[in-house]
Amino acid sequence: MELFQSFLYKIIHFFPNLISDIGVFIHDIGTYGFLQKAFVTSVMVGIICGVIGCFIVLRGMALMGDAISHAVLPGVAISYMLGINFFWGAAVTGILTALGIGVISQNSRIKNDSSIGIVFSAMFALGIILITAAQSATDLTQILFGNVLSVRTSDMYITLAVGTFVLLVVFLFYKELLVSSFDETMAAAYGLKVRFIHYSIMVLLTLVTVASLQTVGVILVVAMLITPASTAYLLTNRLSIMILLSAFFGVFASIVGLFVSFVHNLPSGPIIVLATTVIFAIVFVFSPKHGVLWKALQSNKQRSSVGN
Amino acid sequence: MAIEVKDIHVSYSGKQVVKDINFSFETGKLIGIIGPNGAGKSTLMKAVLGLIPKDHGSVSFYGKPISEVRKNIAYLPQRSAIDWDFPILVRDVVLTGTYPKLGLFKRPRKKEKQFATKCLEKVGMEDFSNNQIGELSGGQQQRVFLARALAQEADYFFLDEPFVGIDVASERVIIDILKNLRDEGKTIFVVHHDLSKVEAYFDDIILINKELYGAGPVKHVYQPETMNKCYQMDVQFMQGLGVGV
Repeated sequence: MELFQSFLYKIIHFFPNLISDIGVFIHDIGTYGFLQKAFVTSVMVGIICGVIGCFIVLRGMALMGDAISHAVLPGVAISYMLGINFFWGAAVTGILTALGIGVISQNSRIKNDSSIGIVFSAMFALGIILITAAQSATDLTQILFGNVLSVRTSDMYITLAVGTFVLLVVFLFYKELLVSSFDETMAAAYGLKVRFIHYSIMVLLTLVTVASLQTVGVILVVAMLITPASTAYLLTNRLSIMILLSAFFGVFASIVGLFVSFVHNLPSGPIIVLATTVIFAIVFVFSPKHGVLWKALQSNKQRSSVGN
Repeated sequence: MAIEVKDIHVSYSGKQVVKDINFSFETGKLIGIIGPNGAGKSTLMKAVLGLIPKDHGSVSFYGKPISEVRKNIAYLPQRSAIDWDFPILVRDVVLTGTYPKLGLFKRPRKKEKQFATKCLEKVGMEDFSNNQIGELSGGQQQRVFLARALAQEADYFFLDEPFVGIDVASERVIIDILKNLRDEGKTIFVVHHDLSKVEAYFDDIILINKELYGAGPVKHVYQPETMNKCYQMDVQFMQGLGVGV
């Protein structure tokens, strides 16, 4: 009961103190190095999750995104044991998972979603055992739920490098990504290597997941991939604009996550995810093109004009 | 002959869907791929294009394998293969037709955009260029996809069921354009199942029902005897179900 009361107290005082908290936050970003690193990393993660998320949403690969994010766990554990940066192990197991899922669904009657389920839960289970065996319990919660404030300099540089690479690939091959996502058969007929493009997107997805590990954590990465992109999808009829909006929502949510996490000492991942969800809910209701409110008004208007 | 298809067999999970298909055609023809439902018409088209694996068989265009002529191939998918909610405008759909000849790293510029607009005018859809593709009717969507094929400036056109579920006016526009393309020397394959239009639309037909029942000029293949043979399996199937035939 006491715990609940203090929780309510926190919630009630969240908004009155918001302005002064933001002031403190901005001041502290200017002051503390660790906060600057967290800020830079958050922004980059918001951008790349938003950008790659658009392709994941449009190509119906949401479950794949969830799978790869869980499957990087054993890689993180092995890197930890070997004493190397977790990025390398995570990238390897992520890519292996993508390939493994492809092998199972192409060489048996098992459907794609089932083979995704088989492979990723196995990898996730293996990851938990390895991490427990490596005796790094604090690290486990950080990896699962994110702790953006623990970003080290080397992590920040890796995130920046990965982010630059991902954005460069999307920029250079935008035309091919667009046409193969919209009409894969036509693209294959004129000679695009659509299978190669599919696997390349999985590799990019793995890289983005790994880069997001510290800010959102393994379990919730999929929300950063899907929610900002879906929000943008409800607002525009052009892919290029969808990508820009999605990146914007991703960055906004990341900064909110960092802010709340810093000021109120809460894990950053869940805050980021809830921030993206709030934006989604607002757009879902009020979007001028595809919002439920507007649609309801329109069908009402139609009904009344039919009645007249 | 210009286009030769030899001994194509295709199976899905161990079951043969299309077998023993051989035909050859000169270029500059409008060719219908005709047969009952489930005859493997679309499968044959995809196998010819190398979009699905075949058990064996070969396809050549003037002696070259398909991999060397891909940039000259325009394909129109079945309506059901497209996500009509995709965030893309009509003009951008047509613009993707200019991609094959642009190659990697090059972006469509003014020249390509003007050409795409011209193609859109040819199918009478220029007033819809700023609409999202899903906002159009089925016939309008099919015309936009034909405009995209025109933007590809291909020599070979492959259309999978272009006339299914579309309005009469759009069908008219599309068949007129296909005949014009044929007159310019292009070769067009069309998967089609409405028998009433066969003689009016096509120069040659490929008649299949799992296997080949004929391939050649309409007046040779489109004969009661051959057609009966090809559609026979349907009659037996219906009798098996107890439908009075």
